[in-house]
Amino acid sequence: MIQIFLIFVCVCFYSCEKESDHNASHWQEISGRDAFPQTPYIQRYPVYRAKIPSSWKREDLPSGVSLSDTTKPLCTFLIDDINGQLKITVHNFPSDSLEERILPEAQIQRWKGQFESLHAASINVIPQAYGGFSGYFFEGRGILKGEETMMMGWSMQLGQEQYQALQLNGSEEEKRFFKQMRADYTLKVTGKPEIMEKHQQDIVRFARSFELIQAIPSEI
Amino acid sequence: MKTIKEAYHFIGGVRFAIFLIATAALCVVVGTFLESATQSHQLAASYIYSHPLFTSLLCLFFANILFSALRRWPFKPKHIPFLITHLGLLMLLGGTIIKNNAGTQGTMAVTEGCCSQEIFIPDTYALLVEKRHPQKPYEKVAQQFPLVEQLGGGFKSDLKNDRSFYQRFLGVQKNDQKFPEIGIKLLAYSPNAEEKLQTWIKGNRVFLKGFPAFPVYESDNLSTDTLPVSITAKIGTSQHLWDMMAFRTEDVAKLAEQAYIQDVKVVVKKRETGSALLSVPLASILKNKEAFLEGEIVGKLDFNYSFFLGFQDPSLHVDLALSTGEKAKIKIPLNGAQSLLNLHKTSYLGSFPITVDLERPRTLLFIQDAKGTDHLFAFDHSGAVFNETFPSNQLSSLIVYDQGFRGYGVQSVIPFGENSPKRADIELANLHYLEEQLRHAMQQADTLIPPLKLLYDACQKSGEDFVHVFLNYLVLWDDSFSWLFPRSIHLPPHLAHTMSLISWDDLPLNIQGGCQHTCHVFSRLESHLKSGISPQNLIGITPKSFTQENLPSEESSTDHALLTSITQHFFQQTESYHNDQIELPCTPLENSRWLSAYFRAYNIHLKSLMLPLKPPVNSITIECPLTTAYNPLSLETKPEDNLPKLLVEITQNGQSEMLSLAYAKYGNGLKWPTKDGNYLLRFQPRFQKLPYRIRLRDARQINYPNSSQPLSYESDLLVTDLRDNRSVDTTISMNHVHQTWDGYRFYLANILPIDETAPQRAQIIVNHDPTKYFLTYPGGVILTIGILLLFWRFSAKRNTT
Repeated sequence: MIQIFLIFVCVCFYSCEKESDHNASHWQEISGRDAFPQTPYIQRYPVYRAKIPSSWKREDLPSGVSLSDTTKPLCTFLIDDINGQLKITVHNFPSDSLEERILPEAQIQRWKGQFESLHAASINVIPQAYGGFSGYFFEGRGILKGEETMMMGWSMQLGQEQYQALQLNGSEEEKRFFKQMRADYTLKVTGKPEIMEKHQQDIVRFARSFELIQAIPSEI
Repeated sequence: MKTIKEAYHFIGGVRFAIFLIATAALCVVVGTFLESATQSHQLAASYIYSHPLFTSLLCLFFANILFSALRRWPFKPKHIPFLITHLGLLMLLGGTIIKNNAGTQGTMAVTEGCCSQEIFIPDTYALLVEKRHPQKPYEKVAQQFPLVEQLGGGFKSDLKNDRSFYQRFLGVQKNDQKFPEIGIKLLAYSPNAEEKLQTWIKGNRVFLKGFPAFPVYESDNLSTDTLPVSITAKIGTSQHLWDMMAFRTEDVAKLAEQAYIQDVKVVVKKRETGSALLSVPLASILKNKEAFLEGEIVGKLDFNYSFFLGFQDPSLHVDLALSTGEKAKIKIPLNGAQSLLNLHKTSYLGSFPITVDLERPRTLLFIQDAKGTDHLFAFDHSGAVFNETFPSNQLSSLIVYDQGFRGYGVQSVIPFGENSPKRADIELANLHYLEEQLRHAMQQADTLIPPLKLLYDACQKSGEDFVHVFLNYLVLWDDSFSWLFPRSIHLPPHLAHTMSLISWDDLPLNIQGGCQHTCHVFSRLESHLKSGISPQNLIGITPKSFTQENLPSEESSTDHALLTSITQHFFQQTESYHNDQIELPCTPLENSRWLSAYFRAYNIHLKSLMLPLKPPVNSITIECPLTTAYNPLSLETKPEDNLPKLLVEITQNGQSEMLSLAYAKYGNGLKWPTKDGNYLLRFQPRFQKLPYRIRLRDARQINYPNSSQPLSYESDLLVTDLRDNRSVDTTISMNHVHQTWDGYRFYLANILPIDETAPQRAQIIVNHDPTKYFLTYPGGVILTIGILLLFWRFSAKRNTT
């Protein structure tokens, strides 16, 4: 009787839950833009990190090339597929004050404008908030450079409180670093719809893991 | 010795056990009823579960179980199940007693992207003191001084003792002192108080940064009907003087309306020349009709201000009747996108020949209501209004001066800057904006609609700029206040020249006939329309062929749509017109009139093309210091609803300063400066550092598929053990707790905001039972084994017998 009771207890307390290792991703650090944008001296601080699947290829500009031009991406990730390639670009836009920032919606409008024609039913704009940033996720399909293309993008900026927390005084070096931390950022992926759908989960997981390396000070 | 022995047997006896069980049961019953009746766990805890007597009861239980086991001495093998059971009970009780005294139960609030290693312990009290770091001015040195609440209210302290605060009742050692230079003395304590945020009006004065404090008048005490102006001054870089008025009243809307009306003048002008026809106080046209050379005017003011909604379409309505028979009901919005414009029902005919403007001194009006809420009103020189409300229990804006060391302030951005536009300026700006839009559209347009193409071709022949001609034509037409271009008006030479070159010959017969017929019919209707008669009523006096049966019913819902339908109808009568009936226009004025008929058929008119331009932000900002005031209140039934307040005295170099502090329940209120902004103080719960740092990466709501109904809430955390700097990624949710190797448990309690429109904040409850692994859990197992052995022994004994 006792043996049956003990077996029953063991069965009750057995947990089926297992950690599934579905993501062979690892953290990678991404540097911000030049700390001294108006000078030939190039110094960049690692500002962001994200979980990158091991199959993705990363492309960085050579260390001697200036990144003060915000049209240049901080880095690019390439996803190779049998049917083609996807390209993820990471940009940031440092600013000195809240008023200098551009609304995330404006970035979404710009992306929409890049399509020669956009299928209205495919447009999906969803508010996003993670890592202290908030903004929008954009998804849309249409004709881009004459080809059927799908685009996914995240246009994010720090919350007002978080931005102000990073405007604290500090040493000159800290101020330069905080300016990079305060920057808005965008993640944009374009490619053939069938390839995008295949890698969509990995891309979303990558985007949602994108964060500042250093935590934002939580108290003003 | 005998007494001790008796006591030993009594404590370990079954009677005492029954007494303890009965007492504990009674306490639990009372506690349950108390909690249920008051809806307050804190009350039940303070009277029962956290009460020292209840803790004593647990200790007596412990003694009873221990002594009852010891009474079996010398132990025999048959005692083993009994002793094991009692050992399990003792371990469980011991674990509970130790957990209550040395365990951790607190709350951590952390925002996405931020991290925290502190929890606050609810219903505890501490005074936080901060100062600037001596070497790094942008960093702070902080120390919290825990306060111990006494039974019956108040805090444990010796108020008469002159020793410094930390020595006096906190027992902090000299070596640990971070603030040896100051002494803090607890002067008074109030168990419940109301905290009021004071913004512009403090007592009987208005405090506006950069100005001397000026008086506030009680509206009930005013002897005259004229409201007094407190001061007149320039604000910021503005070159204009502003009247500043301040009152305290119960009826804010009435007083604000009275103050608005007091100095406003209504100016009636002729649109064509801009010459003034009448200038009278607003109050007079609100009471009676006022006559002027060309007509009369009467008005009604809808101030539409309420406490909760602020201004709701405040506007002035005037009825204008001209001696020429033209009438209009004009609405002048006092704020919003169409502020100050003269809007009227017959605007489809064009602009009314008479304009109405407001003039008044620029005024800032501060009114405090009975609840202590400050209402700020600004009245522009052209009569536009602005309002912002500053409730005494909620901050609408906050300016932090030097991290709080220089205090706090609130501000209001008033959209009436140095050169805020008047009605005429807005109309001109709208016209320029339209010109810009037209020029931009002309660059992109491949084809023009037929009436515009007709004018465009004429412009090509005359060599005139199309946009310039088109706009001039539209403005002249709009100013005439008629459905079609007027028959008698002076055309500027460039317009007359272009109009003379319009070629009607190539147009289809229905267009020519439509233009001719429209001009003919409306020459009879226009005078009626101008006098304010609705087109709906005019249908009866129009020729039979244009009666309502012939009109598309869905388009005749409004006057404008009805007239457009009539016009379009004339252009659709293809078979009704014959060449011999058409007389093409031969003068520039006739051409202009025909063209306007053609435009009407395509719904082209200045008013239909005009896009309201968002005026540029031209504002002034005013600021005031933020302070607090406290009113003592009687105790609430629920202790959770009480807001304790302290009055402390801070002494430095022999000089003292007093500061009132309300309890910041969640440890996130403002820290108030003292001693010339050298220190910050906050009365808050006791914060406790954890050996872990928690970073919130992402907090989210998980919905059911294809639904917005929440299925779960989750938070991704990075948990770093500060002892060995190892980090673990984890996700906690409503049903999934994260537990560290040493027994710290993290529960997700709340996420705000729920949607992802802003960075979210998670509330995490942290629990730590230090005895869990070596007392509570093993105690439970031992107790189970003991009970099983007791059953086994009894059943074996019964079988033997």
